[in-house]
Amino acid sequence: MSETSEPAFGGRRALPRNASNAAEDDLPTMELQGLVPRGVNLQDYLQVTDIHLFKERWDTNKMDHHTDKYENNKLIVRRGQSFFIQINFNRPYDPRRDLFRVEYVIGRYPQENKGTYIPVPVVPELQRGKWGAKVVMRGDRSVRLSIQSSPECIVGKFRMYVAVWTPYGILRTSRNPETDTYILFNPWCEEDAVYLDDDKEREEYVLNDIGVIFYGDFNDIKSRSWSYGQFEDGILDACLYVMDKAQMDLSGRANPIKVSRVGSAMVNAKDDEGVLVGSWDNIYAYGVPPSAWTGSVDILLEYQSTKNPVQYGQCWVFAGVFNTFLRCLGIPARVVTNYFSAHDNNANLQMDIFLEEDGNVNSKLTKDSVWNYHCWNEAWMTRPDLPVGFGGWQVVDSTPQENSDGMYRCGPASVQAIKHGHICFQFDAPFVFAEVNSDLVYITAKKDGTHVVETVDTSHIGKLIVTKEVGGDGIKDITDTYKFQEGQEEERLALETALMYGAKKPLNTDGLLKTRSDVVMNFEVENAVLGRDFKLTITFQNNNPNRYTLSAYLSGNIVFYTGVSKTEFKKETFEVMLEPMSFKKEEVLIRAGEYMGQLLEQGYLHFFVTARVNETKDVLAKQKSTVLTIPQLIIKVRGTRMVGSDMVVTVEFTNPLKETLRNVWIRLDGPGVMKPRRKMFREIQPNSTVQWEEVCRPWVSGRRKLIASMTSDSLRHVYGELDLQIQKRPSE
Amino acid sequence: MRSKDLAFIIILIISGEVYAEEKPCGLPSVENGRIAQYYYSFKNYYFPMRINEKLLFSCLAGYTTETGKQEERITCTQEGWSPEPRCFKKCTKPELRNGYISDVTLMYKIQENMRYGCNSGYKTTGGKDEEVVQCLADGWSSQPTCKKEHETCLVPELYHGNYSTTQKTFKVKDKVQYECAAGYYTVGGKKTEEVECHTYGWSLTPKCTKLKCSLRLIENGYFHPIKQTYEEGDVVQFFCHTNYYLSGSDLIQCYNFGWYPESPVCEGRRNRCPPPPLPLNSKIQRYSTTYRDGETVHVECELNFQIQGSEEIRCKNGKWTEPPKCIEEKEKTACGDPPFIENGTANLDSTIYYNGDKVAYECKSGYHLHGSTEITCKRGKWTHPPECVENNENCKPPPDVINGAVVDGLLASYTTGSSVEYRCNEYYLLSGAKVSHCEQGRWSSPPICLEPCTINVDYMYRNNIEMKWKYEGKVLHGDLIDFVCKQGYDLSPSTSLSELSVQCNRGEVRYPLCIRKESKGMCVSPPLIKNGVIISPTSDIYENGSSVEYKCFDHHFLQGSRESYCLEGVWTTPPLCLEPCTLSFVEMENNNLLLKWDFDDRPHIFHGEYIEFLCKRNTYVAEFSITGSELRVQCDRGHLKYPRCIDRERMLSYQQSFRT
Repeated sequence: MSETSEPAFGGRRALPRNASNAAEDDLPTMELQGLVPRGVNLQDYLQVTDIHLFKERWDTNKMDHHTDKYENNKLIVRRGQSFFIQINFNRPYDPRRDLFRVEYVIGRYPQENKGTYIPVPVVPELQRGKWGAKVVMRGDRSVRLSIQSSPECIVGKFRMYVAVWTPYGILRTSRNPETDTYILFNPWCEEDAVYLDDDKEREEYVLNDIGVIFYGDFNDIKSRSWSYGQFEDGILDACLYVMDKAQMDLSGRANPIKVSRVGSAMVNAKDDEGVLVGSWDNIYAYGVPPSAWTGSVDILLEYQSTKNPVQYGQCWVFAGVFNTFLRCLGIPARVVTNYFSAHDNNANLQMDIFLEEDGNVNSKLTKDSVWNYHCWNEAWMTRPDLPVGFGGWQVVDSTPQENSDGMYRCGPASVQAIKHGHICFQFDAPFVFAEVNSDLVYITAKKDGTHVVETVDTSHIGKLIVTKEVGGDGIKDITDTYKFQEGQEEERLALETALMYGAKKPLNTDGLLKTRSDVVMNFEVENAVLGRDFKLTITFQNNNPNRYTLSAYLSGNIVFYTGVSKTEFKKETFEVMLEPMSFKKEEVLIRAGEYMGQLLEQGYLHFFVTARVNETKDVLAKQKSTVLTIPQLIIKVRGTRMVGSDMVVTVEFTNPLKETLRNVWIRLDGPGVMKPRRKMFREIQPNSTVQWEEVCRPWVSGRRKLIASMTSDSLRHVYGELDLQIQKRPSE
Repeated sequence: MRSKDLAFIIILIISGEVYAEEKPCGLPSVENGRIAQYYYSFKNYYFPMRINEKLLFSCLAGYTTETGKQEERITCTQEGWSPEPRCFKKCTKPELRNGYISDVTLMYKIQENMRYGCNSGYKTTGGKDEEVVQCLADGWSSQPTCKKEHETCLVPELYHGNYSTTQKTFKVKDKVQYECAAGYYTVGGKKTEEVECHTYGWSLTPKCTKLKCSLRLIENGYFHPIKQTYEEGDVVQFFCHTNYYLSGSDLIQCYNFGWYPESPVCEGRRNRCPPPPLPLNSKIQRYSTTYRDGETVHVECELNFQIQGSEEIRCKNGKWTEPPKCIEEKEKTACGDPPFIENGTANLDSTIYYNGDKVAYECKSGYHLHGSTEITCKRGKWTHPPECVENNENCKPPPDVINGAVVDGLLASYTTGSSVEYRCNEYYLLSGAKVSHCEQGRWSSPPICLEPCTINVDYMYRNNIEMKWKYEGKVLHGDLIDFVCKQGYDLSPSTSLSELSVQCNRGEVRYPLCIRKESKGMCVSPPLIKNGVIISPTSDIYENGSSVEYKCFDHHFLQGSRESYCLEGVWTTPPLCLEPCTLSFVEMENNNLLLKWDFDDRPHIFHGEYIEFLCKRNTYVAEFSITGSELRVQCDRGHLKYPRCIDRERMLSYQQSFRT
C-alpha cells in the first residue's frame, strides 16, 4: 500500500510508528497487476462519479449518531452504528459483475491488521460488531449503502476512498477531503467499551457543552459555570491534535483506557509540551490568571494554533479542558470536586501537621498540605484489563501533582476499586485512595527532638465529593461512591484491604485515643464579605470540676486554595481562665485593612487556633478556612433572543474596594451564542462602575449560558453568569 | 432499656422481616464463574439484594455464559436471580486424525460452529466429506472423527450365529442378514438382523450375545449370588436383614425378557401384619399371604350367625384392630309366609323359613316374570319379590308406508300374532317384507316403496342430451336409462362413456353433460380494463390457449399478469392498472414534512413505491409505531398517507394528553 523505502528506521522496523492522525499518504488511484492489453479502456469498468455522505447537520446520519451539534462540515459518526452513503457511478451497478469496496484510511502508514486501513466489504446482511456495507437501494446509476463500523474502530479522522475491481487491478477514487469521516466513541452502542445505559446521563455527560464546577470551602460551597464547548468550531480537530502531539499510536486510539490516560498526561504541559501550564505563584507573568478563563474553547484553540502550551491553569482549568477533550471524542465524562484533598501524598495515608511546643504551627516541618478543594475528572468505560466489577466511572486527573511511572499523569483508576480498597488495580489507585482517605495527624515537635502525637483527625480528608447533577445546575453528593460512611465497619474493611495492597501508614494510630481533655474548644468564622471587617468567635467548654488556665494562639493566614500559606496576616495570643464546669467565649475582630493588602485571587483566609491547658499540658488544636464573598459581575442582554438575530450583551462591574483596580481584564464567553471575547480596562476607581457592551448573533437554540470573569492585579476570581433561552429561527 | 428503645428495636425487627421479603437475592454462587471480588469481602453490606438490583458475573477462562459471552448481567427478581448465572465449558479443538480443521480457534464458545473435513479416503461420522458440528453445553453436538472410507466390508467372525450367505466380502450399499442361535440375540435385540455396508464400515456390527439381566442392590437386604450381569437361566435368592421382612418372592430367575418374578423388597416390621384373625363361624375368605399397613379385611359370619363388633378389621402399625365375633343366633328368626304376587305363585316347599332360605316364584300362563325368580329370607325379612306381567299386549294400528298402503284397510286394534299386508302405489317398487306382524304390542318393520324417476326435459336441454329410447310412463327404480348427446355435441373429455347409461335411483337421475364440439375452449372478445388498453391485435373469436397483452396508461402501476389467456372458453383474470400518487406540498407543509431524498421530488409516484419524509427542525413524529416506519409511507392507488410532525412543546402536551 505505501512505499517502505525509507531506511531511516535502521533496520529495526519495517514501517515507522503510525502515531499521527493528521499525517497522510495517498493511496494510489491505480494499482495494476501486470500489463493492460491494448484496446482495453479501464474506464469501461465501473467508475465513481460522485459520493454523497448525507453529512448535513439536519440529515439522518448526524441526527441518529447524535453528532449534529458539532460545528463541522464533514461527516461525523459514532462507531458500532450504521450510517448511509450514496455512490454515483457512470452506469447502473450490477452485483453479479461489479465488485467494489469502500475504504477508510487513517494516518500515513495504513495497515489492515492495525486497524488503520479498513476495506469495507459489500455484504448481504450487516453483522453486529463487524464492518460491512449493505446495498439498501439501487437507483438508476447510484447505489445507496448502509455502512456499519466496528465498535472497536480507531477514533479519529479517516480518509475515504472507493476502490473498484477490474480484472487488471484496482481503480480507486482520488483523495477528496470532502469525504473525510470522523469516527468517535459511541456511548449509545452496547458493544462499545464506553456504553452508557441511561439516556439522561448521556445527554449530560456527552452532549452537554456547559457545566458547573464546584469550589470554595466545605462550609461554603461555591459554584461557577464552565463552557466546555466541545462542539465549537475547531475543537474536534484540536482534540485530535492533542493525541497527535502526544505521538500516541493510532492503533491505541480505539481503547478509551489508553485515550484517557494519554489525555491526563497531555492536558498538563509537563513532560510532553501539553496544553496547559500549571501555576500557583499568583503572579502569572505573560499569561492569563487561571481564574480568568471562562471555558476550554479558547485554551484549546490557542494550543492548536500556536502549538505551544497555554499559560496558565489550576486544577479546575485542567479538569475543565480535560472534560472537553473526553466529551468531544465521545467518552462520557464529568468534573468532580473533592473537599479537603490530601496532596503530594506518595500514597501515604497520613498527613502530618507539626506543632511547636506552645501549640503554634511549625511551618518549617509541616510539608504536607491539605487543599481546600481539588478537581479531577471521571470517565465512563468498561475495564476489561481488570477483574469483573471494576468498570464504570474511572478517576482521571490531569493536574500535575505526582509522577506516575515517569510522567505527570493520573488514572484511569476505578472508583469501585478505590471504594473497596482494591488499590492494586492500575492505574494510580493508591494515590487517589490517599487523596480521599488520609488521616490528619497533629504532632508536637518537642525541643529535644522527640515527636508526640497529639490528635488524629480521621474524618477531615475527603469530607465531601460532589459533581454537577444530571439535567440541572444543582449539586450532587457522590462521596458514597468513593468511600463507605465514616465509622461503618465497611470503612475499616476497605482500609484494611488498602493496607494489604501496599498503602502506607507509618504511624500506628490505632488505639491512640488520647484521654480526652475535659476542655472542648471550637471556633466559628463569621461570613465575610470582601472589603469589610468580620468576627471570629472561639468557644471553650470546661467539663472538669477543676479550674483551668489556657494559653491560646490565633494565627490568621492568607493561603492559596492549596492550603499553602502565603503570609500570616494576623497573630494573636491570649490567656483564658476557665472556671470549673463553665463555658467561655472569646471574640476576635478581623479588620479589612489587615487582610486586603495581602489578599490572593481566591480570597482564602485560613485560621489556626491552638490552646494549651497549662495545668495538664494538653494541647487543643483546630483549623478552619473561610472564603471571602466577592461581588459579582452583572450580565444583561437586550434584543430578541433568537438564532441568527443580533443581541446586545452588557457586562457591569462595581469596584467595592477602597483602592483602584488596575489592569482589569474582563472575559465573556457563551457556547453557541458568542465566541470568547475579552476587554481590558486600565483602571477602575473605587466605588465606580464599568460597563462593557458587545453585539453577538447566537447560532444554537435552547438553554444557553453567558459566562463572564474578571481579573486584575489585586482582585481576581470575580464571576458572573446569565441563563438564556434562545429561540429557533421561525422559518425552520 | 427505655420503652422508646424497645419500640425502636421492635420496629427494626418488623421492618427487617418486611424487608426480607423484598430482598430475595443472596450472594449467587456460580460454578466456574465469579462476581466482583469486593462482593465476597463486603458480603454482609451488599446482600441480600433488593428486587431490580443488577449484578455482573464473569466466567473463568475456558468457560462462557449461555450466550457465549464472557460476562453477563443478572437481575434480582421475586424468584431470585434471573437469569440463573451459569458458566459452560468451552469446547476444545479436538485432535483430528486423517482430517483437517481449517479454523485456528483452540476453544469454541457455546453455539459456535466448527467445520471439519476428512482427507480423501476418509469420511466424517455422518458419512460426508465435510461436516459442521456445534459446541453445546456438554461438548460437541457430534464428536468429530474421520473414518476410513471403505469400498468393501468384510463380514466379522460370528459366534453363536450364522450368516444368510457364505459370501465374505461385500460392496458398499450391499446388505447381509444373520441369525443368532437359540438363546442368543442380535445387537438390536432380535433373532435376525440385516446390516448394510457403508463406506465407513457396517451400519451395525453383526454380533450374537446372550441377553443379560442385571440387578440393583436392595435396601435392607442382600442377595446371592452377586454378579455384574446375569445370564439367562441364572437364579438369585434374596435375604432380608433382621427386623425386615421379604415382600415378594425370595427366588427369581433371569429369562430372555428379564427377571421373573420381580425382585422383592425388604420391608420394615412395622409395615406388615400377621394373617388376619378371622373369628369362628365366619365365612372363609381367600386372603393374601401378606397384609400391609392400612389394608382392611371384611368379616362375614356364616349362616345363622350374627356379627358382633366391627365388620372391618384394619392392619395398623403391625397389628390388627379388634376383630368381631360371630355369635350364633339363639332365636332363629323366621320369616313369615313369602309374599303373594299377582298372577304368580310361590314354590313353597316348607312351612317355615329361616335365615338364608330361598323361595322361587312362577307366573301364570300369559304372564311373564319381571325381577328375580327367587327371594331370600334375611333375618325375618324377605327380599323383594318379582312381578308377573301380562303377556298379551295389543298393538295399535300399524304405521303408514310412504307411497304405499295396507291391504284391506286398518282396524282399531290388533291382537298379538295378527298381521297386515302392505302394497305400494303404481310405479313404486316394494322393498322389504310385504307382511308386518304384531308381537307384544309392537309391529315388525314395514317395507319401503321405492320412488320411480321422471325424465326432466329441462335438464336434458341444459345438458345437451337426448333419450336413446322412448319410454312409456315413468321409469322404475333400478331401470337403466340410455342417453345420447344432441347433434353437434359431445361428452366433455373428463366424462366417461358409461355415464350415458344412467340407473334410476329412488327418483334421482344423474344426467350426463355434453358440450358443444366446435366451441370447445373458444373465447369471445377479451375483457377491457380501466386505465389500460389491449395492445395485441383484437378479433371476434379466440382459440383455446391464445392470449392478449395489456398495457397501463402512463405512470400507472400494472398489478397482476400482463397477459390474459383464453382457457376453455374463459379468459384468465386481466391485470389492474393502479393510479399513481402526486406529492402535495401543501399537505407536507401542513404536517411539517420535508422530503428525505432529493430524487423523490418527482411529479408521479408509482403505486407501491415508498416515499420517506423527514420532520422539520425541532418537530417530531406525532404517532409512533413499533416498527418506527411512520415516516416511510407507501403510495396506495393514488393515495399517500402523510405522517404528521408536530412541534416539541406541542408534542409534549400532545403526549400528555395520551398519558392516562
